[in-house]
Amino acid sequence: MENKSIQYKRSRFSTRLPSDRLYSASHFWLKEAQPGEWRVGFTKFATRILGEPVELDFEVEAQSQVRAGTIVGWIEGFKAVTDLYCPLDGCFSGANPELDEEICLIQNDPYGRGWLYVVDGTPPAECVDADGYAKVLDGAIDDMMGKST
Amino acid sequence: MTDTTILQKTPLHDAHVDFGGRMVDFSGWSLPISFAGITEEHRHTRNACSVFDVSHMGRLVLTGEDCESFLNRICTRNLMEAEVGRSYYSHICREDGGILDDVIVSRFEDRWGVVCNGANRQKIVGWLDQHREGTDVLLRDETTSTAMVAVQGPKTMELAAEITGQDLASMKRYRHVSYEFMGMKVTVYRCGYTGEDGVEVVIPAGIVKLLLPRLLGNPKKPHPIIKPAGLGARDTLRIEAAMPLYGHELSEDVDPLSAGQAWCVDLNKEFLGADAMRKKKAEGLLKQMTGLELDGRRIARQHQRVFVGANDVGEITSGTLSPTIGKSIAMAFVDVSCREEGTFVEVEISGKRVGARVVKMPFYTKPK
Repeated sequence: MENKSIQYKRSRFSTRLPSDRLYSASHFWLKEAQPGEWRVGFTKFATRILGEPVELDFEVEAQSQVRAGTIVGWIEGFKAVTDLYCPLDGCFSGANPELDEEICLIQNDPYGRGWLYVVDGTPPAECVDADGYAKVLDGAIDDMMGKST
Repeated sequence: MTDTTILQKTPLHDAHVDFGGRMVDFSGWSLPISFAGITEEHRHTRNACSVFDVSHMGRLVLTGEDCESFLNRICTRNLMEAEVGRSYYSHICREDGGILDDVIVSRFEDRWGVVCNGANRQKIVGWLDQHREGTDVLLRDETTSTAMVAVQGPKTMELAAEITGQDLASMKRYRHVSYEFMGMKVTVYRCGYTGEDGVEVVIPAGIVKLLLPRLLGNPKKPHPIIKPAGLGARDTLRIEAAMPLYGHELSEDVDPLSAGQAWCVDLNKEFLGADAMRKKKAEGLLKQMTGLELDGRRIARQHQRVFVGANDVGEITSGTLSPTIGKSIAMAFVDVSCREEGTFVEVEISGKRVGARVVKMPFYTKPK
C-alpha cells in the first residue's frame, strides 16, 4: 500500500495524507522505517502553523528513553520557538542529519526528506491512520475558523 | 483579543486571501503574515519589488490656521519651516519624554497629514484632540475611507512610473505628490520601512479593486516582477535596516534620545517632552539602542536579557535571522558603557547564554 494517500481539503487548507503511516493528535506522523523503528515528522498542517523554520535542536541524547509527551527539543521559526514533543514511548535514536544543512526540508518535504527523528518503540493506541487524522484536522480547522472570523 | 472579536478587514483583504496569504490577527486587523514565505518575500524585496498592505496604519488629516504651530508643539521634529510636498519622520511624546508614537507628518497646500501606527491610532487621536482645544485645528480620521500600500524594492521606481504614468523618479526621498487616478485622488510618498527605495501610496478605498490588478495581476496570472509580501518580511526587512518599531524599540517607557532617534528631535524649540529630554541629555543617557550579532542561528526575542559577565546590562527589543547576511541579528537596549563596537556580550535564550558582539547599525544598507 506504499505511496498511497488520501486527499484532504477543508476551508482553504488542502494536503495529501500518506496512508503508509500513523498520525498523532499533536500533528506528527509516525512511519515504521524498519521493524520497531519509527520515523517521526511534522504533518503539512503542523508546518503551516509553525511557519518557516530557521533552527532546531534536540535536547535528548541518542539512545535515551523517551515517553509520549516528552519534550525532545525545540524548533525556532521567525515568530516563535516551539517545543518538539515525542508522540511515542521508546528509545530516541537520532535526528535527521539532512536538516543540519537544509532545515527548509521540514516545510518543503514534510512527509519525505523533512522527517525529524527516529524512535525505537511502539506508538500508543491513540495514534490514528490517515482517515482518522482527517477527522482530527476537521476539528482543528473548525476551531481555528471559529477564532478568526 | 477574545475569540469572539471580529477582526477589521482592509480594502485589500480579499486579494490577500486570493493570493494565498496566511492571515493573522495584527492589532485587531486581519492581515497577511506571509505569502510565498518570509525569506523568499524578504529577498524579493531586496532584489526586485514587493507590495505590502499597510492600510491598518492611522491616516489623520489636519486642517485650520494653527496646524503648523500645533503640530510643532506636539512633534519632536521642527516643523515651523516645513515645506509643502515634504514629509517628516517625528516622534510624539508625553511631557515626561515617553514616546506615544512615531509618525510621518506631511505638509500639503491646504492641509497636513499624520500617519501613525495602527495600534496607537485611538491614543494619538485622543492626544491630538486633547491638545487642540482653543486652536484653529480640525482633525479628520481617514483611515477606513482609504487604503495604503507600500511598494518597495530596487525596481519600484521604474515600475511605479510605468503603472502611474507619472514622473516619480525625480521625486526625492520624503517627498510626496498627489494626482488624479481614475477620477480619484491618489497620494504617493517616496518613503518606506524596508531599507529599500520605494513608495507608499494612499488611495480611496473604493478604487483598490481597480488599482490592485495593475500592481499584482491576478492569482492565476500574477505580475512577473511585483509580488505580495506580508508582515513577517516587513519585520525582517525593517530589523536589517535598524528601523525602530513601536512596542519594541519605542514605547512610553523610553525617550527618543535613548531610542537612538535624536536626529528627529529638535531641543532648540519648545514641544511636549522637550524639558524632560533636555534634562535627560544634561544628565547623560544610561541606556541606549545597540546592534548585536549573535553566534549561531537562534533568534534573540524581545525582553530576553543581555549580560556582560555576571552583569545584566539590558534587554533585547527585536531580533531575527537576517535573510540577507545569514546571521542572527538583534537590537538591544543596553548600558551605554557596553556599546563599543566589538564588545562581547551574552544573550540569555531559554536559560542558556549565547555569545554576541556589538555591531554598527544598520545591519544592511542598500547598494548605492
